[in-house]
Amino acid sequence: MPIAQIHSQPERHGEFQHPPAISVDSNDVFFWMSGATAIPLYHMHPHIDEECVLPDDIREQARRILTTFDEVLTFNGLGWRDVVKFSTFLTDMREYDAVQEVIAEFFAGTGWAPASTTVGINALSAPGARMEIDVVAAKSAN
Amino acid sequence: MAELELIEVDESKAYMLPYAPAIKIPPGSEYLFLSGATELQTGRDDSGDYPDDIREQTLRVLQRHTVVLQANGLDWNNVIHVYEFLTDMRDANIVHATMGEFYGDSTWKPANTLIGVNALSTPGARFELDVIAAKAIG
Repeated sequence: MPIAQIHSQPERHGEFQHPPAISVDSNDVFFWMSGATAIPLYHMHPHIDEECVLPDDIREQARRILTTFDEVLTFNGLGWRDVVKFSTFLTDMREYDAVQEVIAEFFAGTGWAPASTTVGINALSAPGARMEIDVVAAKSAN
Repeated sequence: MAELELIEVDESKAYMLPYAPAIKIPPGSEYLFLSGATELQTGRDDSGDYPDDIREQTLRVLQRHTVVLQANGLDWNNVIHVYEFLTDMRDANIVHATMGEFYGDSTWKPANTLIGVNALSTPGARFELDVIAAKAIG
């Protein structure tokens, strides 16, 4: 089975930024990535305040997060076309549209979008963090 | 021999994170998806007799998952991703320290997503852990 978007209503393809499902194969290589907020990928635990200073602007937080994943994907020889699932956690659901616009910037030119779940939550690990994403990627082993 | 692989993007900073930036799973691996667990021990228990202490709750959660992993011939070195759901983000450091104990001398650590939530299924529950495990084949 190829890594592909599954459109249960193909005639409505294009109405949504994300497909209803993505197919993968057990013979693919999978990458399960930790959730990231806008603070640097490598930061001390327990957290130290100086590393957790964040811009309040949601677009800037989103760009920092996606830039972190760009680094992790590139390190593993992957690109955005290899991302099969996004889980997005927002502290304020009114920022959904702005977040999706930034996500679209990173997928621009790929013709691809992953399956996606977005939920509103109470709090994130860094004070001031408004958004966290975690990512699953897959690549054909052939 | 195929193995699960812990991916550090910067090895010199690996000590900073109690979780892996990413875990790479080789082709043909088997997966085990475990339901999220709170400190509730087994089945439905309406006694309400649960510890409030976050370390004690964390130990109970991890012991529950240990039983499921072992029943499937797996252990914590097979855990590739966890979702940690906390009702109070200030509990995160104790949860991470307690989880670290379950790894003993192992250098393995799963990928991790930590989320603060409103409520969990068991009244009084402060921590829920959802686990994905994998086993490389061949």
